[in-house]
Amino acid sequence: MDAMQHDRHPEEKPLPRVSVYILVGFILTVVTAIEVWAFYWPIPVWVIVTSLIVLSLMKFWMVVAFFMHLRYDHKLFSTFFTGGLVLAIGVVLGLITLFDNFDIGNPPPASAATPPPEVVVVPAPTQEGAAPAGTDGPSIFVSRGCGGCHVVEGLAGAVGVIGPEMTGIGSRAGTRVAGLSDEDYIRQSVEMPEAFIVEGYDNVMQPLRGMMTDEEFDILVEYLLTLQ
Amino acid sequence: MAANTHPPEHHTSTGLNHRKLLMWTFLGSECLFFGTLIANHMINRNKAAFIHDLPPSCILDIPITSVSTFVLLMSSVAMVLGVAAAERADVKQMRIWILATAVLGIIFLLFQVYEFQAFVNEGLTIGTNLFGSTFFILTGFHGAHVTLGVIWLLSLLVTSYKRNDLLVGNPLNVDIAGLYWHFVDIVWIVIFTVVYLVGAIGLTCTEVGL
Repeated sequence: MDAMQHDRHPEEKPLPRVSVYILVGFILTVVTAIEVWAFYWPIPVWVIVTSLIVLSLMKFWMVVAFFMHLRYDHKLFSTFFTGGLVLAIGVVLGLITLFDNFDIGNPPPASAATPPPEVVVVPAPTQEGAAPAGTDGPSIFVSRGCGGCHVVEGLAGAVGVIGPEMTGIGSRAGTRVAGLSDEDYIRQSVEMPEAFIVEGYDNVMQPLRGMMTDEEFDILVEYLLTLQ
Repeated sequence: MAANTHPPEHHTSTGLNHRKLLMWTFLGSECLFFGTLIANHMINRNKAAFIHDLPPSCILDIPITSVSTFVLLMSSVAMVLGVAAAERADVKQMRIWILATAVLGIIFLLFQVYEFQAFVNEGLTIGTNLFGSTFFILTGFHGAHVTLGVIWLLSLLVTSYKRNDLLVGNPLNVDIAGLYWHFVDIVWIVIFTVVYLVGAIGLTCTEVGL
């Protein structure tokens, strides 16, 4: 019986009873439930984030101390584990300080979320090329570079995420700026992209209007209006 | 066959079992491994391009992940009961709890398969953006650890039928597997808090785009 207890080092405490394990498991479950509950609470984010971190550290310690019975074992085991743990915490805090300024809680209303301008890759449109790929709306959308930054669901080549999605633009355009109809808003957005910047995006759109003929521009606007 | 063919090592320079000391040292190094992966995700998740006009953290499913977190927590309880049974040389209980631990681990992995599948269907893969890369690397490595743990537990189960003397005579063989399993659980405690709860908190996940 109790082979392991028997083999314990003289400086080690006897292992806890099964009832202790059950109790710890119960507490861990309750703490996890509180964490999820707190997540949906309408209280300031920093309060929740702080409590979440404190609670998870508590869970971490409870598993290590009881389930891994470190608090009953010889100190040397703790030393070896804590050594790695302390180094790891240092590395994590160091990396975050260097790269993130502790902006861990949240999020990026506008500028942080949008990739910096240098990653804007616009497929070079050629005016001389005079619409080799076709003269319908979707072809113009892709060949004149719109697709490099805007998604249109189902249109191959319209995959960029730097600008807002264009799927359904025909039914939204008129709601963006008071006094502008669907068509007026779309025309303005292509000719003067800086006139209105959708929330969450940066003013990085290229002046692509000059890359297409008036006729192509009309076809493009008409096509965008059909996207419902 | 002698009941105690593998007696615990008594004569070490520390007076402690060196395999157990090695496991704790290994787990200390694993803290660094997962620590850097977690930091990598925290640093880069807010620099990722939006998906369908929404911040990528909006893709996280908190209710489902809370359930899988609970499953992994219960597996840790089962594991500790298995270790306690091994200490009492209660073979029957030990088998039951080790099997329960492995089954709960497999259920956790199935949740992860479901989650990865759902993310890919929504357009988030490891190559989509910085959120996808850092998320899949981190949770993928954790899932690989759980998988290894399940294999280890199942091999213990087989051992208990083929060479039970290795476990009854030396419960440390179960204990060390338990240390590994609990560590995988505490890594998930951190991931669930930092990646899921803190990552998704305060986000407005309704369409804001044009």
